[in-house]
Amino acid sequence: MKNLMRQIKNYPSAVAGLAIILLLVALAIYAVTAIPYNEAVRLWRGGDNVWLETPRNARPAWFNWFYKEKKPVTIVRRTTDESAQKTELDLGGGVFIKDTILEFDFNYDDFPTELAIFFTASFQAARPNMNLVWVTPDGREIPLTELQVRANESYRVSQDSRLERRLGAKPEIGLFADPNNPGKPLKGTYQLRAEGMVFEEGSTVDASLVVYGQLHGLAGTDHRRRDLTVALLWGAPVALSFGMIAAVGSSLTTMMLAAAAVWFGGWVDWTIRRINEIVMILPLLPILIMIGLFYSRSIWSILGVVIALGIFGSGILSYRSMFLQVRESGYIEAARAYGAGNGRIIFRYMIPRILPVLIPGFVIQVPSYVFLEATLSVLGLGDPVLPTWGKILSDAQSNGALMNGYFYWVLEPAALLMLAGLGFVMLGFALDRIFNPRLRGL
Amino acid sequence: MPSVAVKPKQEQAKAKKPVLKVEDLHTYFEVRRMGFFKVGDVRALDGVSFELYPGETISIVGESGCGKSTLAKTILGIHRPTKGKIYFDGQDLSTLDKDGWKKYRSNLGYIMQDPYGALPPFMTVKRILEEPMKINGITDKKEHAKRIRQVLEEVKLAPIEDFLPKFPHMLSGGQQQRLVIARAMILEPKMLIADEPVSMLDASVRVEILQLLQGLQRKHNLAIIYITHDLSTVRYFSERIFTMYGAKIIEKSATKALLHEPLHPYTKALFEATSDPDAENLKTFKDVPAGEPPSLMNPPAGCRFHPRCKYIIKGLCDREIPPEFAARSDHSAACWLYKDRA
Repeated sequence: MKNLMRQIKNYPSAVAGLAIILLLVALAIYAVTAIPYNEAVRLWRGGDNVWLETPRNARPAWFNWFYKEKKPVTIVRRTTDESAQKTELDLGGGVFIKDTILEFDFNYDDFPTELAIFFTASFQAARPNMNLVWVTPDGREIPLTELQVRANESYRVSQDSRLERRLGAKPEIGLFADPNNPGKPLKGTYQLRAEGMVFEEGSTVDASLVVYGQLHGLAGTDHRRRDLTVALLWGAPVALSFGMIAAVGSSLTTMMLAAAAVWFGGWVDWTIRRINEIVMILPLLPILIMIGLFYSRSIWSILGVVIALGIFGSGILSYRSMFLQVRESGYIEAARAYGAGNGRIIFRYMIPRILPVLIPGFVIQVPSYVFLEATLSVLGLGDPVLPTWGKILSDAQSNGALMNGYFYWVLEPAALLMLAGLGFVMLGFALDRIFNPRLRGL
Repeated sequence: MPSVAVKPKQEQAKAKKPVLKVEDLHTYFEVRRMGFFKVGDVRALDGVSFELYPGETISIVGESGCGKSTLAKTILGIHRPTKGKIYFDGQDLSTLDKDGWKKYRSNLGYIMQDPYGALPPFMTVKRILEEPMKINGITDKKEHAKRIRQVLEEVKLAPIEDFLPKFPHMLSGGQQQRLVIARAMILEPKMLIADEPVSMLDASVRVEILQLLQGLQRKHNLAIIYITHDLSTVRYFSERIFTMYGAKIIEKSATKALLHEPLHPYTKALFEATSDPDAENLKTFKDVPAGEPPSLMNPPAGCRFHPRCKYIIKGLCDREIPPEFAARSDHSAACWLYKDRA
C-alpha cells in the first residue's frame, strides 16, 4: 500500500485524479453532514412553499464579478428584524398602531425580477389591518395597497395589476425606475412603510419584504425557485455511492462467479457460462427503462438491476480465462494438500491473485455508472425523491434551459459529472500502468 | 556431488507397521468430447502397489508422463483413485469423512517442483506458514508463533524476524524451497511427498536442500516419497527406488542393488541415459531406446515397454502383462526376462 502511494506520486495525472476524487468525496461528506437526507428531500420536494424567498431561474450570485452592470441579488427585510424601525402607539380599547419602516439599499444597475410581501398575523377575531407605502430614495411616496391580514397572507406586488396601471409599468420596474431615466433603476435607500393596526390586545402583525434579485447563491435557482446548490451538493454522494457500489459490486460478484465457475468446473461452469451468454444479449438500457416505468424508480432498485445485469458480460469470460491460469498454480495445489476448502481457495487464494490487476478496471468503471444514473435521470427515470445531477439536467432540459439562456442550469451538473469522470479515469489509467508494468513504456 | 551417507534402515523398518500402504491403485481421467460424451480414459495410474515405512525414503523415478506426479497427487487426495485402496496408518482412506481427510492431510507434507509457484505471491512468509495451521484448527496465536519459529529454525531461514514480513518474490530460489519445506513441516507430518523438489534449483543449492530433507527425516522419523527423474540425486538419498513406466511400477529395488545391477530393460536404459561429466562420453555411444512413451489412453498390450524393448520375447511380451518377479529378496522387476529367476 505504501509502495502504491509512492508509485502514484510518479504520475501527475494520478495525483490530479486522486485530488479530484478526494474533493468530490469531501463534497459528498459535507453535503451529507450539512444537509441531512430528510432535509435534502424536503428541500428538493418542497417547491414553492419551501423556497418562498428565492427568485425563479436566477443565475449564481458570483456572476456579478463578470458583469459591468451589477445585477440585483435578493433582498429580504422583515419587521421582526432588529434593524427594523418600529413605532407602536396605543389608541386605547385594544387598538394599537404598529408602524414599521423596512429599509434597504439598492445599488444595482438592473431591476429586480419580482417583488412580494408576506404577512403573518395572530388575532382572535378581528383581522389586523396593514397599509403599505413605498418610499423611493428621492422621497416619492407610492401607496401600494391596504389589506386585512389573515394568519398567513402574501401580497405579490409584481402581480398587482391596479398598481401596474397606476405606475404605467410593471411594479418591480415602476417602483425602482429613475423618473429621469426610466430605463435605469434609481440607486439609494428605499423604504417600505408598513403601517399596521391591530384591534385586539396581544394581536400581532408582521411583514417581510422580498425583493427578488436576478442572481442567487452559489449555483443559482431553477424553475421552482429551488437553490441548485442543494441538488449539486447532494448529487455528489448519490453519484459516488451509485458509481462505486455498482462498479465494485458488479465486478466483485463477477469475479466470484468466474472463480467459482473455474474452480468447480463441470456443470457449474457450464451453467454460469450459459446464463452469461443469455444475459449478455439482454439490452441494459431498455430493461432499466421498463423497470423505471413499471416497477420502481428508486435509485436503489435501479442500482440492484444495474449490478445484477453488470455481473454478466464479457468481464466474466476474461476473468474466467485468468482464473483458469491461476487454478493451475502450484500454490493452489499446495493449499489443497494442506486441506484448504473450496471457499477458502476461491476467496483467499484465487481472487486475491487477480484482484490487483483488476483494481484499475473498477476505478475506470465508476464514472460509466455515474453517467448511467445521469442518463436515466435525463430520460425521466431518475429517482423521484433524491436530488441528483442527472435530475438537474432533466429539469433543465424539460424547461428549455438552453433556449431561455439558463446555461448555468445545464453547465453546473454537467461540469460536476465531467469532473467525476475525469478524476476516476485519470486515476484509473495511472493505476493501470502501475499494476500492468507492460504498459509502462507507453 | 558430495555423498550423503544413509544408514540402511530398511531391515529395522520392515519390522514396523507401514505408514502408507497402496494396493492396486488406479487413477483414470475421463476424456470427454463436447463436455458430455465419454471418449475414453487416460490411465495415469494403472495398478500400483507398495508399502512405505516410517523413517524410510522411497524414490520414484521415470520419464515425464509416466504417472509419478499422479501417484503423488492421488496419495495427497487431489485426485480420487478410480480403483484400489490407500491405507494410512492402517486406516483406509476411502472410508474417511471430511474431518478424517483433514486429519489425514495434516499428516502429509507436500513439496513441489517449482517453489515460487508453490507459494502464494500475495502472502507474506508469516501468513503462508499460518495458513495450514488456521485451516487445520490451530488458532492459538502463541502456538502459531512457536511453531513458525521452530520450523524456520529447522529449515535454517534465519534471522527469523527478517523473513516473516517478506513476500515470496523477495526470497532466492533456495530460500523459497526452504519455505515450502517449512510449510510442509509446520503441521508436524508423518510423511513427506517431495515431487521433484530440487529440479528447478541451482545445482549449488540442491545438495543443501536434500541434506535439509534428510536432517528433518532423521529428526522426525519421517517417511518420504521422493519423486524425480534425476538419478544422480537418488543414490544419495533413498533406501528403495521404484521405476515407473506407462502408469505402472516396473521395478522395485533397494538402492544399492539397483545401482549395482538394474534388471528391467527400461531401468537399464534410464541409467544409461544419465549424463556424467566425463570427457570419455564423447567417444561412447549411448544406447538409448528409440520411440516414445506409450499412449496412456490406448496402452500397448502386454508389457508396455515392449515396442521399445530390444530384449523383446515375441509372442509373450506383446501379449501378456508381466507380473512382478522377485529376482532377489530386495529386488523385483515386472519383466518376462526374469520369469525363471523368480
